[in-house]
Amino acid sequence: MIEEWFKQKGWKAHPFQKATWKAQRNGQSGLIQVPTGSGKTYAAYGGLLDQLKDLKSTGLKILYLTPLRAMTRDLELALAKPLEDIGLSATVESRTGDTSSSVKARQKRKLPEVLLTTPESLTLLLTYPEAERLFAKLDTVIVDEWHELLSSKRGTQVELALARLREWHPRLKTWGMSATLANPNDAMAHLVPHDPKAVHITASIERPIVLESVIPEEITSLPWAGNMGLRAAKALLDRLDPARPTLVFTNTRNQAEMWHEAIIRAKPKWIEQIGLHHGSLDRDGRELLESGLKTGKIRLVVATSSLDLGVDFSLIEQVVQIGSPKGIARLMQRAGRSNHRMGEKSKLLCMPASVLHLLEFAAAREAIEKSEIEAIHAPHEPLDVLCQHIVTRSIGTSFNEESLFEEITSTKAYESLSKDRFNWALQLVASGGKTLNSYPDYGKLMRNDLGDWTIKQPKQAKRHRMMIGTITSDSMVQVRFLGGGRIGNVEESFASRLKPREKFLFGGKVLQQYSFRDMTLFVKRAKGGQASVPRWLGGKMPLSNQLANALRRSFDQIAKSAAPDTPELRTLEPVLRTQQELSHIPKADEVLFETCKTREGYHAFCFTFEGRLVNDGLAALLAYRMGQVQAATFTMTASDYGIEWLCPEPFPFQDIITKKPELFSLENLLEDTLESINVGEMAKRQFRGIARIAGLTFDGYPGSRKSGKQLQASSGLLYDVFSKYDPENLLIQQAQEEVLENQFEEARLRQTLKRLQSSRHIFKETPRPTPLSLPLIADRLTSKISTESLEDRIARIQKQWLR
Amino acid sequence: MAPVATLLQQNNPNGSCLIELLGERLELLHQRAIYWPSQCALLVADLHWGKDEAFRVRGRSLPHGVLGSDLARLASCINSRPAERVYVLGDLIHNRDGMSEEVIQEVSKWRIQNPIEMQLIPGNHDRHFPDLPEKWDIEKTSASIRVGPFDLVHDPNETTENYTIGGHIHPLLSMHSRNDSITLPCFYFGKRYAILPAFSEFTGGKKIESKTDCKAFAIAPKQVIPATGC
Repeated sequence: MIEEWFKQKGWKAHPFQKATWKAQRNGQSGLIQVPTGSGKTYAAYGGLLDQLKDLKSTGLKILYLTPLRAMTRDLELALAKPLEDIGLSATVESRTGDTSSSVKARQKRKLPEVLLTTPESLTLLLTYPEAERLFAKLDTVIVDEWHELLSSKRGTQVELALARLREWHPRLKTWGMSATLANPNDAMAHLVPHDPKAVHITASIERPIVLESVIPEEITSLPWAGNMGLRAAKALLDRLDPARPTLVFTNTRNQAEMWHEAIIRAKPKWIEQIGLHHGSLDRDGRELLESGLKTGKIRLVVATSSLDLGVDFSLIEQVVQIGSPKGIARLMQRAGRSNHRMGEKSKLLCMPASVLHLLEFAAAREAIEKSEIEAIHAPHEPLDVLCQHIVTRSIGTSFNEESLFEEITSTKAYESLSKDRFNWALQLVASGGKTLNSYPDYGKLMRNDLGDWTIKQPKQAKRHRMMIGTITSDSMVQVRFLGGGRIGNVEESFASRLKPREKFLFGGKVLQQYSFRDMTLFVKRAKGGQASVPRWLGGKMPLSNQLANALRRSFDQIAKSAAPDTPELRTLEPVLRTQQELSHIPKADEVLFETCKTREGYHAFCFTFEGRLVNDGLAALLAYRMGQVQAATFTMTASDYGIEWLCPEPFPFQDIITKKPELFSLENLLEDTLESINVGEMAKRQFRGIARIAGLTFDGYPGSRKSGKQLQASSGLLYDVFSKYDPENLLIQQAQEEVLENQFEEARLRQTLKRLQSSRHIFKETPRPTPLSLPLIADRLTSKISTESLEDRIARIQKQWLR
Repeated sequence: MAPVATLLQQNNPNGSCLIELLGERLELLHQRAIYWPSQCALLVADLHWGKDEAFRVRGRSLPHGVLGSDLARLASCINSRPAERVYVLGDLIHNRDGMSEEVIQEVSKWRIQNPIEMQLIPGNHDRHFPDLPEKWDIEKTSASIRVGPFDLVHDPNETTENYTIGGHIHPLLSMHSRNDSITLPCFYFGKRYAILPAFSEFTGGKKIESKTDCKAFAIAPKQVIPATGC
């Protein structure tokens, strides 16, 4: 049937689309991996159309999951189109947090034949007593952007929901759609566990990416460090033109605000056609901007990753990346936002924010050509999601704990879940766990006459439904005009640091703090002047392992004079020559160490090119281990490229590093890391999200924040109380593990140590900082790592006062 | 004008600091209390008994233990000094939810073991439960009482003519260097009033502003540290 429709439209089906339709008619499940904008929606949907023929209001047949609710409207139209054209009576509807309550109520009686929804709304649907009836005729689930979901706890939530649906429909078909993946088997196993018949479908669609760097006339206008690069802005401004709709991507919200402002200042005439898009801005404003982009009213948008995914903007002709690309998959995804037409080239313009970014661009180009993309790892057995799911399953219907255990362990995420951990989670939500059992209110579940578990009170069910989901954010403060208009959100820490009447740049507007109360920051418009920019968390994204590999390869090629001739390298030639003359350019099997003495003291540098997080962890770990050999106080800095240790007194760095190979040992890695880094501080932040997902804390009903005034405690306080009085709590351990993995990429840290063990160490003492070390010195003030005890830190702070 | 508070002794083996204020010697304890030798009295503020319980009663899970640990710390202050009475500078309890039978019992038991005289200068939280359990044997005073040269109050902003000592604020002190910063609870001594740290460990707080005419003492886990930077 889909073939007819394609013919009607005058379209030619692509081989990968045909392959999918065939597999679907065979009753198979599978994973479709093709670049964005190649027509995968109709691939995953087309083969199912036959089932929608001759329907007499059967109810839900096809469930379509998407991570973005903003996308549902466009998708709804796209999915309804072939049905209309062919003249089928089946209906397509969406159900998200935005759906009106009357529509929701109607859907609760009978779902449409094709339902578009988000993972959260699906889980919510599963908590209704009528869920089994509503899903009775379900045939296929389509999961869009699976690569995106997979890497987060939202993916885990989808896995659990699918396991639930498979209990009802053992032969349920599941189709995932994803961008190109480095580990497709893994992605498939999480989507369709234990199905030998499931198929991978890939397309040989060529969507070449043409990556071009913006090269300023004066290379000296590019700074050594930092991530703004505004001084060289002219070079990019010359390449922008509202006649060619452009998306400008930055790495941080901070950067987006600054560049947006710089462009408007330079080109005030464009103001009507320029927009700013980032995750902190109010959703209505963002949606207005998105529709402006679609209609062509808005021609230039400065955005963060908030626009990486989502609606197709077919008018976009050019994509710009500002600063380090950070990862290959990410860069390709961004490049794919231009020219959403099959077979056409994606144009990507890369603007360096500091000198060495040019080398990253050249390295990224080569990695893209070789399709070296990053593997995506799904969360392993997150207990907080498990706790939430157990409660979810007790609402609407009861569950038998044995069969629930089997259902949960049928997913890839929990396949190795032990009975002990399951029981621990069940006990926590059922009775409040070991320490919380003295009040009826904490325990959420009770056994019914059959011995099955069910929620105790309707009140608790209502509360649970409101907190379903795994998206947590830092404690955010609403930004509002005095008149009441909402502008967006900023982190609480930023809001509380603002002084009265202080000006700051937000959403492209200069605002002035007026008052800060009840988690709302009231502001007024201000005119010009010096304005600070909120420094949001999350600007710490590291260089990915694939980009790091590519970068090391570039250095290797340069060292061996075998580098391809690129505009980037031609521009960087004087910089690289200086590096070679002063020190060394490391080959692939080498690790470069430099030492240098300046007015500040004795510096040592190690260049791993392993990304900021690994280097953060490595800096503290090695400082701790060097300190064991000879006591010293180090100030440490880490960047994507390397580490700096600064010591006020002479320190035998070379001696220790060359003579103590145990410095890089994997033994006691966990203990030494915990010893050298104050994981507790970071675990506090992580724990807040975990406690919320697990349902330990409840943020309150929307808009009822005020009533909870006497029940407010910072995440730090909560973590302290839990870790002191319930240290066995597995969620505390989960917080620590997540910190090690998220903050220091523990697995990659291990790999790096192994590489440090097996590589040749090149030591260079340099008369002055080199092109590689200078950025670290320039960066130092922005980063801090402490390896000392609280008392030592206080003593050191006091010592500085006395000076 | 005489300095607000003079440091007499620091780095005592027990972690305390001895100061002189308007001719009175005061010992600042890292257990978040002041011992006043000439009055044989302990000063504490903002105990917020039952705060964690209030969280539990409202369905926010928290492990037990905060109250027990706070009570043990208060007992250690009482037992390590020849104290004859405890002045509580307000906010003894958190709210009505937190006054569960368990909390009342736990404190009653503790009072049997620690039968020292206790006086409560009521704070804003204490109005949520005006009649304290009889078994607690804690006497309520007026909103401000005169002891020696000082007025003891809850909220020191409601200043009287005399130098006041109070709580209410839960003062925190941020200590910075070029590349590090630590925030700790503190004792604060200003020109007209002094503020005690919140005694309860389950409390947040407010960072105090640095001024030149005041002194602050930060509370590290095992010692009180004069913070000259304030």
